[in-house]
Amino acid sequence: MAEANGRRNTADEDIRILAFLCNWCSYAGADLAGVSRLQYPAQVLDVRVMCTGTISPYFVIKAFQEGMDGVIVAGCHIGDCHYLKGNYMTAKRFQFLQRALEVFGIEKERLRLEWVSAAEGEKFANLIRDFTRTISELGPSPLRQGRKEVAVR
Amino acid sequence: MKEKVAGAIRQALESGRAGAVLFLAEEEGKLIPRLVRDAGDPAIERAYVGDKRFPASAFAAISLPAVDGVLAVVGRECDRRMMNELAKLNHLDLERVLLLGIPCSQELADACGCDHPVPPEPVAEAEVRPAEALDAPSRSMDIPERLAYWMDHFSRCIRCYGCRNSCPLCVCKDCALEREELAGKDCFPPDIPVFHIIRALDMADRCIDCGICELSCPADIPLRELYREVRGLFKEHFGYEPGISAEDRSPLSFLGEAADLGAHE
Amino acid sequence: MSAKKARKKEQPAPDSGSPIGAALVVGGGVGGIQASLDLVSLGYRVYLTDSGPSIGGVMGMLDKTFPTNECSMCILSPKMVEVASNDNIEVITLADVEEIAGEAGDFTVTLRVRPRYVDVEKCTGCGDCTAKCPVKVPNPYDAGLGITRNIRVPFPQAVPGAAFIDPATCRYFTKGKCGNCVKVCQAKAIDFEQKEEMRQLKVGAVILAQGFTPFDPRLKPEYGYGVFPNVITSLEFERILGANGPTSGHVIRPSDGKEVRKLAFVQCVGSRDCLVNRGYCSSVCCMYATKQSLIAKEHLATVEPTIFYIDIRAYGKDFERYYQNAAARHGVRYVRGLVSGIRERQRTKDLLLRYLDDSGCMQEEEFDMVVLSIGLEPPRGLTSGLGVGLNEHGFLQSDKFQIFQSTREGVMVCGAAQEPRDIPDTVTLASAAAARASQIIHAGRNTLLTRTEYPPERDVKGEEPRVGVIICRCGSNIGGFVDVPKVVEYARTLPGVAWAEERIYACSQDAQEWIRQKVREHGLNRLVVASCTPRTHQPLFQETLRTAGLNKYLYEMANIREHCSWVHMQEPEKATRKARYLVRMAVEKARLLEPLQEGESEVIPRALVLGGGVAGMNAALSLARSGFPVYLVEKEEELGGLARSIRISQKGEDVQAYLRDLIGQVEKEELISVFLGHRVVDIGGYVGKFRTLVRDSEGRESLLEHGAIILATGGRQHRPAEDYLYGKDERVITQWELEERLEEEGAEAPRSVVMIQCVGSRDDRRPWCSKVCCTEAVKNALAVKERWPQAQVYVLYRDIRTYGFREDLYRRAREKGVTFIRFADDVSPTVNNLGVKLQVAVKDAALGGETVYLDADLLVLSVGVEPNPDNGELAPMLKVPLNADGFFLEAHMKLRPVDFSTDGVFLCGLAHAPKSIEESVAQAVAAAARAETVLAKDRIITEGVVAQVDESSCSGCRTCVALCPFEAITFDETKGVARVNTSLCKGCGTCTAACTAGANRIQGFRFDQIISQIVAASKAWND
Ligand code: SF4
Ligand code: SF4
Ligand code: FES
Repeated sequence: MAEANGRRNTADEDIRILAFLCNWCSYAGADLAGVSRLQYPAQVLDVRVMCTGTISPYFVIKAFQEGMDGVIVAGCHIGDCHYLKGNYMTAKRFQFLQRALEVFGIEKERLRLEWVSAAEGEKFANLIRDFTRTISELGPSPLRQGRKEVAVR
Repeated sequence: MKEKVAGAIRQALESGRAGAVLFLAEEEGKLIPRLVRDAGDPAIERAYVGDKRFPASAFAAISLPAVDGVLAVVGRECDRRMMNELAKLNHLDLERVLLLGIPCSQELADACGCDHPVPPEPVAEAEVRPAEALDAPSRSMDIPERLAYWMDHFSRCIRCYGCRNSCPLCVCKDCALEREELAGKDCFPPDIPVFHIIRALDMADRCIDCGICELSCPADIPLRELYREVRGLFKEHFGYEPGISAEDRSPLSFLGEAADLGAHE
Repeated sequence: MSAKKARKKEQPAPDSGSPIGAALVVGGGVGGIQASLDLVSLGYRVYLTDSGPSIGGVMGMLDKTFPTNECSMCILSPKMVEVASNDNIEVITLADVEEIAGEAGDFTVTLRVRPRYVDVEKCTGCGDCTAKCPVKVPNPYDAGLGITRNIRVPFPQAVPGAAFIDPATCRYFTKGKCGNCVKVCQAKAIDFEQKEEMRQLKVGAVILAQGFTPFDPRLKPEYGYGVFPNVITSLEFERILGANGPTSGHVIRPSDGKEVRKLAFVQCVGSRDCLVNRGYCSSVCCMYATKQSLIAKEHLATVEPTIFYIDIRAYGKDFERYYQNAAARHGVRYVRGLVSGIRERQRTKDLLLRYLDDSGCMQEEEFDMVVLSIGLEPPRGLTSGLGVGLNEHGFLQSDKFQIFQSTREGVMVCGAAQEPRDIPDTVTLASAAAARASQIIHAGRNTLLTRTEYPPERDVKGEEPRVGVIICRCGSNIGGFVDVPKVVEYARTLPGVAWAEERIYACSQDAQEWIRQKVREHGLNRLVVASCTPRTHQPLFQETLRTAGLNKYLYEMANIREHCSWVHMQEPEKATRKARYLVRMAVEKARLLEPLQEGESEVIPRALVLGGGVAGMNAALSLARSGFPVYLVEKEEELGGLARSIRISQKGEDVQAYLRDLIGQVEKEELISVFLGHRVVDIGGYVGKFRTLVRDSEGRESLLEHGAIILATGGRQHRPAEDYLYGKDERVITQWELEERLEEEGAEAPRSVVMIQCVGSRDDRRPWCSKVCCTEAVKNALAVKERWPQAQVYVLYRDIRTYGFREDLYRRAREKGVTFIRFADDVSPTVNNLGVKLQVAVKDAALGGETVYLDADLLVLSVGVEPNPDNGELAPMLKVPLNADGFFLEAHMKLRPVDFSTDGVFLCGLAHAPKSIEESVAQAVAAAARAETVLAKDRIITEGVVAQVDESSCSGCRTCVALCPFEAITFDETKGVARVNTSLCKGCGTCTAACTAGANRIQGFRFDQIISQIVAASKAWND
């Protein structure tokens, strides 16, 4: 994969997506997608947290720094959070972060916030399919291409 | 102006409204923060009212424990805002501080692009107009250009932590910027843009736009522009602007209700 | 010695006089397993017997469970392992009960234990013997579809996980020669000398949970089972769907291995059928056929399933929605029709199915394969030695209101042995039976327990991380799509990895011992298992780690099944790559894991029961009888709840008499303090230590302290305001009002009574089935016929859902001349007031929708059950969720039917879903059992995943204090730092993410740990 540093238009193969999933809903939804054998692109790696409340905006920035092309934050629907209101903060933090990314020059589409319940295997699979498509269209993150190149432009 | 300020300092001490006053004094051509408890203290005569700035609120927070009763602080509108924010961070007891507000000069206001050069109830009146906002070159750029713009600036960072060290509102004992896992420990240059974005994000609901960070940055990174853009967005998104009042709270510091969560379902 | 096998242990001698603090559970299916686990947490020693070579029962053979489509084995297996690894449960397989002598509190049970011919202690389950065994036999685990060898481990997750020999087919026993297995077994585990033995056990209580026997469809020769290869039973089909089954989940038919396109299900085979003497409804077949159709479609999109049925009985919680979805969204075709026979086309082996369609015409349709939805019969082994009575259908007879109580004191029943029922109802009854047992033997609590001694935890501080990595094949579930050796190889190259190997089933019994051995051998101090989801399997591996002397938090999982092999089945290379990356992320995190300490907190041994209806009172009584004081809070000024308006139970019992008796018992019970006219104002605290503020109508408040909460706040009857002239015309009444009228002395005899079903149920606004109304209507129709034999009775219905033995009532009603008219789902009957009489117009579905007009002197509405409107207020106070319909949502639909995910809070009665009185009682007593498992402990161990504030880093900003949803964080003014109350903290980390100082850290999900995963992902990709 090391040679994958040049920019491509639809580099489906090369897209790198990191998904933060809360244990109780979205991780379970992803489990259900698995149990239901719903097929989706393999370019996504996931990090399990107990609640999306744990997810700091730092993580997302760090993920971009580390060359991820897209980041998903997925948790329980508002009202369903296993910790009642943990995802209230998630909503606030990441709705804002999506917009703030643009201030720094990162497309807001690269961060997706989604509510996926434990019963929504289908929705989870669709989320991955759709997001992979979105990111493929955007192309690999410029931050992955080596900073100098960007800085020089 | 100078007399009025000196008068206000003395008055505060004599009336017993304040147990001590903190101000910047001109001593042999240098500016030195002074804490006086006695209305007869000769330093009061040398109280400075020029365009030079110092983070009065941060000094206030430090000296407060040594003061009996209220500490009066000679400061600008920025200082008032800083104090409000420090109070929210539990680092300053507003009951025990009193601002002796002074207006900024028109030159300073213009240079700062400041829209609030006069504090409420200043100790001395002055005719100062709010200034035009400063240029934000990044604003009109498209997304890739903007990234390039920032990366270009950030790449000059020498990781001196000047921005953080000078920021009156950076109160964390352990700073995220020094965390190895986030921006690499002690590496030079720091990992960019993560280093600067992290700071910018934390400033979104905290920064009161005093601009001291930018003054301290030896690499001339337009930090004020960066933070101003982020806090502007924060205001647009949440309707919250730090500093203005001590009562309101950043939406990121309370859980709130589902109905207030915005468009997302 | 391995702690993992069925063991024989010396039983400590009980004190004479008090009841024996041990219980026997007969039957190792899900009911028996649940009862055993409950009993052991209540402080009793348990003997769990099964007549087969392993526990697991039928649930262990199922592929998926409805209505959540969860993998059956995946949720059962952790429970089986829990049983196996509990020192106070002795599993005795191949055992039958000969006799139960003595009386409640002091039984002597005689067991006949057949020889296994394999020493369970020695056998490692390696399978070498199976490979060399010359005798091929049909595999019972695959319902006889697959082929296995005579000596074998029953199935991969079996408990005990040891091989056994069936002497009936063994060549050594039948021909006197062979002994191949003896030669190959390196463990020297095979022992032909074993003899049948009789064992005697002293126990205080017995729970019968023998489950059921599947109906043998050969008794219905017209379906050609056993003759036509492509006619199979539903149990066989379940195995075909199973990824671990004979076809690895491929939907192919037996005759030629061809993929099935047209698939038919024939319902009620051996159910609702007096010709074969099975008059009752088997209760589960409609739902499992629906489930199997859905799963078949999932496995093979081209399958076209058709279900031939009489009524679709989707009566349970969320069943109706499941059924409607299957029909509307997943293309499952439902055809109402009685299948009269099946013929086979000789050449193609296709099947011709003849059925009587809705309008009474004979139809014929061709199918590739036919699944017979076979019914549930009484289990074998209900012998007279048990000393209990059987009912007319041959199932265990039970008490009218306490259906978990057999005819013999001290002997309880649960599951399908009492009446055909599904998994959650079985689990509920199992807990209820355990509670009942505890009522009898609670004086012997904790007297016969041996405490699990874990080896001392090795201190790993200062050690370099030595990570052990196991890559599980999960049979072919992972191994079939991921190149497992490649992943193992990769894992070995990762920094910190001291050992990595693959395993066919990492969760199996013997694998646990193997893991312990590897930990020792390689000095491992961290463990990564790359297998399935941590949501089901983490506890199992953590337990293994503990028994290996390591802190259980030194464990990380990589989910390479649900999140990898199963979702990238068509891209094995990418799946393999992703599996490698996931493993790397797990390893990186594991390296940073540190041992965590679990907290301990005290338990107030008292319960709060909210709601003084039948459920609430039964729960309170059960707890009180087991020795625990109870606060019973009822918002009305009177006990009784909704039951006060019910006259006769479904079983024909006098509900009012029952209620009077019940209230009397509650009032007499010293351990119950009743708070009438009180509402809950606030609930604080946490499991073991709740504080609830209640207030009466005059504003007087009481603060109650208790360790557990049972929610029994009931539901309410739907009020049919405008529908069908209710409230406008006094001839329009509800079923309950009819019951009153039936008791009225001089009530005028109606000539014609029309009943309308599903009023306020199964519609757009109330999409659930209210479960009780069909039985109620049928019961009342009979009562009308009884009192006024001349009256015409019409029941207008959509499906008659008289599940289980209630079917007898339905049949009797038809025999007595009650007319049943079915209308389609979307066309409700209408009513006209013609002055002297009412006229009901209904489009008769059997007449092709032709309108039939019926005169009615009485129009009786079968109104549904609705959630209590207070639920919305209570749910946030209790921190528990509601489902889409407004009923409370339990922790797990299948296996935790009366638990909430909030610890220490339990659920029963109509607050959970509509149900009958007996079912409410059972659920209430089950909830009491679950609450008792909390109260019976003197301390509660709290999770290690909690937030902690590092005082030296905390800058005292208080940000986190306001963010905790559980108010677990307080601010220490003197030190100027935040502090987390670990008993209140649930570990969501909402606070952590806000702490810019990094002082507030959520254990197990620390910043550096999560970031290590991010960096690992990136590194993996870059390599
Ligand atoms: S957020 Fe962090 S620094 Fe602030 S009080 Fe909590 S632990 Fe301390
Ligand atoms: S982790 Fe969650 S529950 Fe625990 S203290 Fe932090 S916010 Fe509260
Ligand atoms: S537990 Fe899922 S978002 Fe909080």
